[in-house]
This record gives sequence, C-alpha cells and structure tokens, in this order.
Amino acid sequence: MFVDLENVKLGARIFFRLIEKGEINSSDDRDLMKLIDNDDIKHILSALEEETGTIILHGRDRKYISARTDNKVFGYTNSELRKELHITDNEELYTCYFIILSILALFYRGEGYDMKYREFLEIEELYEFIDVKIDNFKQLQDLHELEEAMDMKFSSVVNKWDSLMIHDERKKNLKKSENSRMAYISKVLKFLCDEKLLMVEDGRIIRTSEKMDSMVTVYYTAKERKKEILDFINQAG
Amino acid sequence: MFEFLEDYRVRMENMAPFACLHEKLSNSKRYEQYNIFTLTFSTMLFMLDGMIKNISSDSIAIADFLHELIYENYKEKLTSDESMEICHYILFDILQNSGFTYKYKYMNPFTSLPEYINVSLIAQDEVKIGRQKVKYKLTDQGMEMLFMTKEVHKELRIPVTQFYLKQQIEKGVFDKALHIVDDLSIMVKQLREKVNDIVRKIKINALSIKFSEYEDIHEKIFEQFKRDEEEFKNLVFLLEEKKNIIESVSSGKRTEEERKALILLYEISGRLGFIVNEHKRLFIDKLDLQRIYQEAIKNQISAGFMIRLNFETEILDSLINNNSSMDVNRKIIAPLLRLKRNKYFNIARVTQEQMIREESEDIIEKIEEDFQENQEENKKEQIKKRYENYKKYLSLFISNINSGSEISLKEVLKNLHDSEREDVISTFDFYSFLIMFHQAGEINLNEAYRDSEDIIIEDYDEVHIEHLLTDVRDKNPLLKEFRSLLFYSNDEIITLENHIRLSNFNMKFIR
Repeated sequence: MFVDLENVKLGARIFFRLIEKGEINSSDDRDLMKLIDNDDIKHILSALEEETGTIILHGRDRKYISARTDNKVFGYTNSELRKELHITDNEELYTCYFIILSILALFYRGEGYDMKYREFLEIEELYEFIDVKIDNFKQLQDLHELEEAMDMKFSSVVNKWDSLMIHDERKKNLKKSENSRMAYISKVLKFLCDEKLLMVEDGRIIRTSEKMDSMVTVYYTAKERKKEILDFINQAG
Repeated sequence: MFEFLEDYRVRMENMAPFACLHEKLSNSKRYEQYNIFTLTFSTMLFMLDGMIKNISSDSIAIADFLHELIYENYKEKLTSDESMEICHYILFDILQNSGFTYKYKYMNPFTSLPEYINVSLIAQDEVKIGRQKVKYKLTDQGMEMLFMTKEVHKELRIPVTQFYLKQQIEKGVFDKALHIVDDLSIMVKQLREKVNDIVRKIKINALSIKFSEYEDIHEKIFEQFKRDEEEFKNLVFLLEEKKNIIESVSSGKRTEEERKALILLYEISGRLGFIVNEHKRLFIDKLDLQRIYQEAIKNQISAGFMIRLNFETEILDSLINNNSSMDVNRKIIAPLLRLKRNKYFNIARVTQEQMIREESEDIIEKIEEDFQENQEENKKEQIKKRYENYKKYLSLFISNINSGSEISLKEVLKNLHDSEREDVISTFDFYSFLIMFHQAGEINLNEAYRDSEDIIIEDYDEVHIEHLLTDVRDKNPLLKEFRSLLFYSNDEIITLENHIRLSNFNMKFIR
C-alpha cells in the first residue's frame, strides 16, 4: 500500500495531540477533526494505535485516546496509581478499585445507547451498595481461610473496609484523611473528577461526564473486549 | 389489523410523561400539607418561562420561586433551608425520579408484547466540570408535555404560533407580538435539539437501529420545517410592510403611538431575523445526516459490535465471587484513565546555559514583587471606593423614584443640598457611573441578581453592575417590584454648576 508522507505527518500530528491532551474536539481542534475522517489518515492512526497499544474512541463531537490494558508505556502501574490517589498500600488501592467499579456498576447496565442506566447517584447510595456487596461476600466465604492466601484478593478489601469507621466527623478534609470509609470514597471521587470522568454536585450528587459515558459505552461494549474482560476474571479466579 | 391503531406508539410517547409524573406524584408521601402537584407543575412552568427569557434556572432561583408560591397560597414563610429542601425534593426526587429515567410500560396492540418508553422531564444545562452550581432546563419531553396542556399539538405548534403572531402584527398589538416571537424562538430551539438528538442516537447506536427509522422521524421534522419556512418569509414581509407605512410619515410628524410602534417593530424584526437564521441552519444538518450515519457505521464496525454489558452482575459480582486478584481490577479500570506521560531527564540540559541568581537580584526581585503587590492593593482599594460611590449614586436615583417609576438626572441633582451636589459633580466616578449605566442598555433585574451570585466580590477587579444592583436591592425592597431598568438620555442638554454640559439622563424602572 502506498502511503503519502504528508499524510503520515498529519496522522502523527493528530496522534501526538491526542497524547498531549487526551482528547481532540471540534471546537478547539477543528482542522484535526476534519482530517481524522480521511481514509488514509485513518489507516495511519489505526497502525499507530496497534503499535503503541492505544485505542482512539469516538465521542459525540470529540475523540479520546486510551491505553489498552497492560500498556507498559502509557498505562499506570499499581505504585503509580497509589501516588495519584495519595494512598500507601495495595490493600487501600484495591479498596479504591472496588469503589470505582461500584460506581460503574451503579451507572451502566444497559446496551449501546441505553447503557447508561441513571443520571445521578447519591454518595449515600454508593456507600450502601459497597457495604451490601461486602456483606454478601462475607456471608459466602470463610475469611480465615482466605486471609492465608498470599495474593491480594478481594478479601483484602473486606478486611480494609471492616477496619474503617464509617465517617470521622472531626475531619474537615476527607480527601486527606485515611481512617474512614467515606474518606476513601472521597479520595476516589476526587481522583475521578481530576480525570474528568465525574462531577460531584453539592458534595453529594455524583454525575458521570460525557467523557466517561463515551469511553464506557464505546470501550466495554465491544464484543471482543467484553470477552477479554470476562476471561481475565474467570482465569484469575 | 386496525388502521387507526397504527400510531399507537406515538400516542403512548405523548401519554408517557403525564402518566409517569402522575404516578410519581400520587405515590408521593412527603409534603402532604401542600398540593405537591401544583408545586411541581408550577416549577416546570417556571423553568419554561426562564427558557423563553433565556435565563437558566438553578436550584436557588427555583427555591426562591417555591418560597413565594407557598407564601401566596398557604401564607407560610419558609426559611431558605426549608425552601431549598422542598426544591431538592421536586427537582431530584420527582422531576428526575431520584436519578433514574422514568420507564413507561404499555402493551403493543399488534404484538401483544410489553414495550417501554423512557421519560426524562428535566436535564442539566451548562454543566461545567469543577463548578458546583448547576442549571436546569426542561427536556424535549418535558416541554412537549407543557405545550400539550395548552392544547397545541407539536406539529402544529410553530404554524399556530406564527398565525397568532401574524394576527397580532396585523391588529397592531406589537407588545404581544414581541412575546409571541419569544415563544417561537424556543420552539425553533426545540426543533434543533430534536435534530441533535437524532444525530446523537445515530452516532451511538447506528448498528442496532435501522436508518429508515431515523429517516422517517427526520423527514417528518423537515416537512414541517418547509411549511414553517414559507410562513416565516410571509411574516418578515408583513413586518417590512408595517414599518414602511409608519416610516412614510416624516419623523417629526409621527404620533407618540407610532413612534413606540416603530421601536417595537424593529425589535420584533431583529428577533425574528435571528429565529429565521436558526431555522435555516437546520437545512445544513439535513444534508449531513447521511454522512454522519455512514461515519457512525464505520466507527462502530471498527470498534466491534456493541453488545449488552451489565457492570454489576457480569463484572463486579464475578470479581467478588471469584475473589479476584487486584491486578484484574486494574486491567478493567486502566482504559478509563488518561495516558501516563513519562518525563525523563535530558542529559543535554547540563551543557545548556544556566541561570544563576545572585542574592542582589533576589532583593531587587523582592522589592519589585512588593511594589507589584502594593500596586494591586491600591487598585483594589480604588475599586472598592468606586464601588461605594456608585452605590451612593444609584441610591440617590432610587430614593427619588416617584410613583411614575422614572426620574431624571436633573431632578436628582436638584433635590441635593448644595454642598452634597458639589461633591457629587466634582467626582470622576460620577461620570463613569452615568456612562456605565447608559451603556448597559435595558437591564433585566432578575437576571442581574442571579448573575451577581457568580461574581467573586473579593477580587474587586472592577465594579460589576449586577453586584451593585443586588446590593442596593437588599436595602430598597421596592426594587423587587420591577422587572427591568433602563437608563437613557433624553434630548435635553443640561449644564452643571462646574460648567460641564451633558445629556439629562432618565432612570426608568419597568414593572
């Protein structure tokens, strides 16, 4: 296939801009958005995606870039994420992961256009949801047996959760505190807001951003990706 | 089967918002001392009114409205916390069904199977990440429901409104015509949102819904659009005709009534012109639809076929049941996060020219910083002083307002003591105050009060008219009775005692 060097340059420019800003949109990058529909440039971009382990996702009037699972260059390691979330150990990190997945579970359970199930979520409901899930797990499993396992398993989230008080009313800045369940929820919400994936209104109403909606609806509902995710879960279990 | 059942789904779509709202309100157990239906429905009308006037409603404005409505009907004065609580109940629990889209279930008479219609009555408007204050608007379905209570069917809404407008212009009732133009504006905006919604649905779901289905909806809209366009042309022509009749009389010979009519006609023409342009833009969208559809199909094929995924049962519960390792969680979440950018130290930097700061430079810098800070402090002080002066001048005008709601600069100055007048006219701020209000045009007071909440007073970078009006309103409750303020120069020229000549301005408060 003949590739025009000019198009390679343009493709690289789009790709570089996506890496720099995380997204391009029709108001700030009108020229690049026009180029992205050119068939040659599309081929170049898909080659770049393949070679760099990234994926370009198509939103309403914007394109996002995301690192595929296990991307060593653009993806975060556990220790890097601990730094981003201002926490110290993996038990805390797993708890944060679980809070993030709970938020996704409460918002998305449909198909394609209707995948988003609700418009907002109150922090209290999120807390109760996590608490119920953890309780259910405790009823099913023998924790003593599980604690002996070397690997960091879901049971460690249960241990962490149980060791925390619900809310410490003396702490004004929850994001910096570490002794309550609400503090961890606040840390995660702050992190997801910084990532521009969520918005929190009046300190209690959680809404997903357009970026989150586009990324979730486009990324996770692709057939082969769902299979990949379910394979991780089943194999690792 | 029966031909008259063909539009059954469309009829159910019209019924769904009423049914959902009615069911929710019938089961509502809170605030039984009030008629919660009236409060909710009035809140929706309040939002519609805001949309017509181009003012977004936030929870504070809605709480204020409910406070007044409850006082009018029950003679109860709620505290601001109580008003906000009832506002939250109506806004979140009822109108947004606690965050879940309403689902209206009905049986399809052709298949005997249940079908569902999603209903959202209100939505957020102007959401900015990081900004706590949220504004709300009615959704297309919410607006549709309100319009239907006026017995005008959606396809006929624009033509009927155009007809009213034509009637009012022909009868010469121009102030009413102006309101009708505003109604039209919101209807055209609604039409645009409908087209945007189709485009959005295509982009997200192109593979699972037939193009012909979208095309049908789209065609219906554009058939209506062509009819509307013709009538818009007639209206523009009619307005021109009316203007020409008045303008054929030389300006000196025009009656007061003709003069006012001409001003209104120009206002109507301006606003109608804007609506016609908005309306025309829809044509461009039509041409784009096919391309958008093809693009969406290509994108979705490249992304893989969409399938159903329930995050709770399929992912979260499986993770828990399998007692999965942490790494599996990381892998699932990873694609959502922004890309990590690695920064490396470039060894070549050691050979580049380095800036070495000497202590003396630090001192100079410190002095410069202090000077800068002082300058900024002084500027803030000046602005504060100017603000206080402006407040004083505005209060002078307001305290002189008589029952006619209008006062001239000449009268205000005449009513001052000699020394006080001398103080006022010898200050630069006084003239900048006159210019600021003159340039502001007609000020919508409610909008100004609302906008003032967004201004951070501590910054004192300039005097904000909105903040000034809000501040003065708190000390002059009389102001609450007025809708807008106009500061205009009449034709008279006055000479002040310091020999400065200027127009005699009028301050007019409009109810």
